[in-house]
Amino acid sequence: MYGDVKKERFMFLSMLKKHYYYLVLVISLLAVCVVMSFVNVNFLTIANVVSMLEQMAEYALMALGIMLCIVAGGIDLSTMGVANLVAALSALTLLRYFPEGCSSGALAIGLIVTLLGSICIGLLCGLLNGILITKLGIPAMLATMSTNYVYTGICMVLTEGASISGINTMFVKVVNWKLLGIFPISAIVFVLCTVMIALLMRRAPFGTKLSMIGTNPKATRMAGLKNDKLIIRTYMICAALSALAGFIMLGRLSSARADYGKSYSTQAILIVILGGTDPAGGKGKVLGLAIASFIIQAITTAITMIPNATSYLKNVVFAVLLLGIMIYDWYRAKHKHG
Amino acid sequence: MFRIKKILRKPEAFCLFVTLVLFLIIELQSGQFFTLNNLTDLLAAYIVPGIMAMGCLVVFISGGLDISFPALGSMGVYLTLTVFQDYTGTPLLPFLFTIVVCGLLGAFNGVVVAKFRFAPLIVTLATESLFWGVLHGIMEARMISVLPACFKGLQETFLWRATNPENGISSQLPCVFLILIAIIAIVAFLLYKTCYGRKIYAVGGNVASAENIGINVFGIQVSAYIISGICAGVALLCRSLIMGNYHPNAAYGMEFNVIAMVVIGGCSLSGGKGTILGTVLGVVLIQTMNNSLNLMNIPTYWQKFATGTIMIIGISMTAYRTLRESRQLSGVMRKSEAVTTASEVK
Repeated sequence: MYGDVKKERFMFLSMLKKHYYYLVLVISLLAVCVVMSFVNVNFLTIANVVSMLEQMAEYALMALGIMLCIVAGGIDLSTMGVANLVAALSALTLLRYFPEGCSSGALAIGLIVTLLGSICIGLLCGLLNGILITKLGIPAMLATMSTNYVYTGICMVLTEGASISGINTMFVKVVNWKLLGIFPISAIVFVLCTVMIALLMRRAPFGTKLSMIGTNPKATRMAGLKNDKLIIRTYMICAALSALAGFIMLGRLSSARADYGKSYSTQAILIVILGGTDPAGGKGKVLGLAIASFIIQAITTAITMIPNATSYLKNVVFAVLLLGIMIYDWYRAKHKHG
Repeated sequence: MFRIKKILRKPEAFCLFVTLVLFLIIELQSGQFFTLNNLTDLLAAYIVPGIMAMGCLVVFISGGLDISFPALGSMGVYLTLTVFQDYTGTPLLPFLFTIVVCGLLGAFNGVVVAKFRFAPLIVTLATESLFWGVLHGIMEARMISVLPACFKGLQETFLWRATNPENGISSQLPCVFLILIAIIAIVAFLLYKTCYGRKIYAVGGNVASAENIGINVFGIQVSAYIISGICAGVALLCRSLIMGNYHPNAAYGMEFNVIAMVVIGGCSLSGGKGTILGTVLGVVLIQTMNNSLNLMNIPTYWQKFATGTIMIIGISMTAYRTLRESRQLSGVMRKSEAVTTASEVK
């Protein structure tokens, strides 16, 4: 009996040790919330939490995609370019073919067409990224940085440097619809995508292969894996998720512009690293990423609520957090190995 | 014949070829390219990215990557301009101040990257965010439209002035062009003529073997980031001198342009490769293109797309060549391995 208790305690401890990282993340999230509810009473109201959930989905979706790329040993910096491009294209389509006051049936078709079209364009952008990286051998960072330039450039041509507004208000209403009046549709999409990516990483061969490529690409090639094909697919998934984010962004802001969300890219990478993904590739944590995106959104909202604080303060906090978490991880790893 | 083939295969030759073709295209399109005032304008436009590219080159050769340098430079220059607001002595002192401040900020980048062996992209992404955040959020930088009086002499000295006889437009070459030449000379001397330069190449080529032969890898990596920081600071101070004002967001997004210049010049992201000549040619190619889009009648909205596309083409040419070379190399190695195993069997 005593032994059982001891064993159970050990199990609890080992569980704790295994999920230690998640625990730290949850505690820090709670800490941010508690501190902020003292600073501002409105922080933990339902309305505020709902608006946080709404804003979160956009860069959290991009972070999911970027995580896949980082696990495969690369990175995707073109997510914002893809999102803005898709948003501009969808906005133009809606403006031209499904203007204000069209019938609800037509709007339903418009919604489906733009959604599917967005994802298809996302996949195409990802394909271009993947081909540049694998077939031409450009380092992922350079390739996606330059395609970001190109996608933003195309968006610039489409929008002529201004913002496109005046899209169908019904469309905006549908995208901003909330389940039971509380759960925004964007948050639901994010949860669904998270579950799908988690299954892909944990239960499907794809995830294992991706981790292997991230750890040692030469070994996987020798083992007979088709590296190029897998990497291209990864970038396609990432770009499709960014396209989804762009679509949601169009709905939330009800306008499209070539330079929306300049800081989202850094923010998404921060979420990935904060979530416990190894920046050197090979290891990814989907659940950690989900919790980390809550933390980042809580901090963003908190900073906008502090009086006299500019939004640039956010950048400082994020950078310190990112460097801090990486150094902390480094010390832990060093400690573990003695 | 063999030697010519070898030279032609170099990325510098490719870069030179594309640059010449670009010059011709612009001349044919506009007829204004080979006028003296346009060439003077171009030379003036090379100053800022050229100085930055030299710092970037050193970091790339050492196997690192720095994308925080525009933010770093903006911060350093803002500090300098506010500290020396009412200063009327020699302009050397503000320059030294910028060099020290930007060197220290660069050292911060370098220490974080080299001590913890983190991915330099992630670290400099974080420090970039940090520097912009501190510049806008904590220092609350505003545009400075009147520079300190000590710079007056530098601002009003020009190397020469060229006037276009057809339309009367004249342009001048600011004297800070000499700083660009000085920095290129210093970096070239460091890389090619000193032991320190060889060490940078060695660390970039293979960290483990560099460590084994007794090179202080940490020191070399940190020094590379310091050089990058100094170059960025000097470049942006020169920009302020040329423009006659300072804007905190003037350098926003410049890192991509500069990195593209260095990469097109044949420098590899994995380190250990890169030449001064290639980088200078890369700067000439990209900056000429950026400057001449108006001459070529490309509408404003298309310019970003055009630059991005040409950069992708340039980068992929360089990258594809290295990919092919490495494949050829591994093929040769496989053959030689087969020979050795066969001889062992015998």
